[in-house]
Amino acid sequence: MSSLTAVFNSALSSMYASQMGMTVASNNIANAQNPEYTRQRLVTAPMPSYGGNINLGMGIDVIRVESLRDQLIEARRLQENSARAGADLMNRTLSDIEVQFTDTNNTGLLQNLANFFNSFQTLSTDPASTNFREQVRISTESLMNNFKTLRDSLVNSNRLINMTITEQVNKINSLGSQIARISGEIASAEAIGVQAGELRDQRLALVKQLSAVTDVREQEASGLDRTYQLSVGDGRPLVVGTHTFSLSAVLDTNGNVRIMSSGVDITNSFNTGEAAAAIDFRDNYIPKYLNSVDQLAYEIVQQVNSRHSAGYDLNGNTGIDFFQSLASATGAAGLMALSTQVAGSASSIAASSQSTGQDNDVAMQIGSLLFQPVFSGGSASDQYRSLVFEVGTDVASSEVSVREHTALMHQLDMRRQQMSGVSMDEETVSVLQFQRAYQASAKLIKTVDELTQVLLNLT
Amino acid sequence: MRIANNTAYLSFLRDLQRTQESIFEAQTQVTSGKKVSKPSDDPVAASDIIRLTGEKAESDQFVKNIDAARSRLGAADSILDSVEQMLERVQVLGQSSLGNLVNATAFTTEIDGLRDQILSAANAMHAGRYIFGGSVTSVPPYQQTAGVVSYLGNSNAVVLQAGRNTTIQAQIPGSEIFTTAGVDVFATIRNLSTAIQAGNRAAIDTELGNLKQAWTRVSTARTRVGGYVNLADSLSSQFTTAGILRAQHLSNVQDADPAQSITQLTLSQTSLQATLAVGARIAQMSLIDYI
Repeated sequence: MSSLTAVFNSALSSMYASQMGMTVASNNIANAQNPEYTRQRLVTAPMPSYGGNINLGMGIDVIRVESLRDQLIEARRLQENSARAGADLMNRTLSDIEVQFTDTNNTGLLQNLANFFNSFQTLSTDPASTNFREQVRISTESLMNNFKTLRDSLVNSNRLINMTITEQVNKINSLGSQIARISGEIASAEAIGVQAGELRDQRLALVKQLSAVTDVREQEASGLDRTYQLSVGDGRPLVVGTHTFSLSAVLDTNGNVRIMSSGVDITNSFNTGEAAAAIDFRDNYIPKYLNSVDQLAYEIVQQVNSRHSAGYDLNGNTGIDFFQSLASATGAAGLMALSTQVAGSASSIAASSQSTGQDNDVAMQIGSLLFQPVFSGGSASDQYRSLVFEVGTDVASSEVSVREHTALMHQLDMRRQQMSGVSMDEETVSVLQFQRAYQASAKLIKTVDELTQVLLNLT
Repeated sequence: MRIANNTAYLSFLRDLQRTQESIFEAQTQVTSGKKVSKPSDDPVAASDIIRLTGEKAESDQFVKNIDAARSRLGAADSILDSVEQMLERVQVLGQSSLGNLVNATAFTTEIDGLRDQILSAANAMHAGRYIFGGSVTSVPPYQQTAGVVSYLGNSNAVVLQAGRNTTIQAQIPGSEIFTTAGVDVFATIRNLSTAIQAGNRAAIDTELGNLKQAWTRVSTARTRVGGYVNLADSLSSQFTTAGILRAQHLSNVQDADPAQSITQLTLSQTSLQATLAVGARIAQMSLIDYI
């Protein structure tokens, strides 16, 4: 049965819905500039009639406020964000190392290598010269210093990256506990039927931050038990419901940080993100460069010593090492040192192949090591060149990787905006619509009121 | 496609970022003058730069070695020249003595004096080192005891590295010039002097013959020195030519083309202006202005 009161109520429900609509629109407008915000929409339905023979609508029913989110895109963004952050960290750390291998301005190891071997060539022009012998020692000091500096900088990178890994573990734990707390709030809100769009946005923003550090996987059971689960790396649980399984950072015997989860070493279980990149850099790149530098230093020591010890010094002595001999290549770049004889006196430098006279055979042989292909990678300069090429290629490919992932992330951001981004014009239109609906409903109430007056005047 | 406000802004920001990156790149090339300033700019080029820089250091050293050889050879040449002349004078004196043996002492005095001069020439030094003692450079190679001259040097030919597979001889040991297995300059002159003093014509003839041989040795040595100097000159000019080519190659690999990098900079700037203009327009347009 229709009645004027019913029209009154129907108009009232419309005014109420219009107000809510405007609130939602104004909230959207307020957050429009936040790229992580998910636009919301008022979901309404016609109010069903109270029964009777004729079905008459009873106004509008506000069902809920809905967030327009595409789960698939959000999941892809988390993956891509992780990959991009990892590539970015790799690029930054490799670029730091690259500085040490920039030989373009007559500085760097190449120049010192050339000076070192050339000082033996100069000695060969006058093997008896005290000055030239001193020059050999001086250029050797420079070479050894350069090797040490290069090695120290790599060791220092290793130290810094370990600090970074420790910070990453702390960040994972802190984000994990925040996510667990918000998940608890979401669960209790939704248990009593309250929509938790903002909370979900907040949690997603935290998960996104976490995805920069590690690969993450979210799982939310459907049905009654909607326990939220978040795992990192190869499915290592970090958050289950409101509980956080904290990771810990422990030092191994080499002073490198290992990441532990409930007593299990999960250092190698990260696939993307900054943690994976930092671990990759520390365990693969730094050792690779360190080995190359050590190997070159070791081979120089070996090659020079084998020639030097066969030669005769200024006083006719033979069997003298030029460098202190090294047992293996491990740490060679940092351990290079002049032998005690040569360090003690420059006249102990063996330039000659005969005990009498001052022939220059040995000085010439050692000087020629700059270009003689007797090293494992060709000549001494070839071997260094390969190292620089490797560093350059590593940095360049990390740059390409950053560019690719940034482009992909941008595309995903665009697709997200298409679904979830706020359009001011759209919101303005919907504000106008709600405004008109509100005005019309108000007018209706006035009309019903007038009709009621008519009835009242009849009495 | 649904366009949200952020769609436009995010795209605008990204374009702006990219344009600014390319401006920065062009700017670095213009100000540094180099297109490769770190290995990752172009790993292959960086590797080439290292090779070329290494080769430059290497050949600079070869040129230094060649110069060292050349200056020592130059000294040897002028000494051998004077020895040659002195030997010719001894020859003349010896010949003349045959017709004037009454004045033997006049001849022998001059001949003995020339012998002393040749001895001191054989002990000549260059840059503080004896140059005719083989690899013995710190003690005088020829020592005279009771009128007999003995060689204290050795027969090492001193060579220097003048290329990866090239060496150049920097000096000739005295044992190949003054005191060879067949002829000893000092003994010959001494014997000649004794023969003149004794008026022994046959002996004078014999020694004059020996003297001729000694002269030939010195002359041959001088020719060899000249040959080494020529080799040094030609190697040196080869390195100069190679050096110019290498510098060109290095410049091609390493240096930015100013015209190209400035054009690139201008293009990027234009692109930045366009991006900014479009961005400003996007920000201006809104439905709110029309209601």
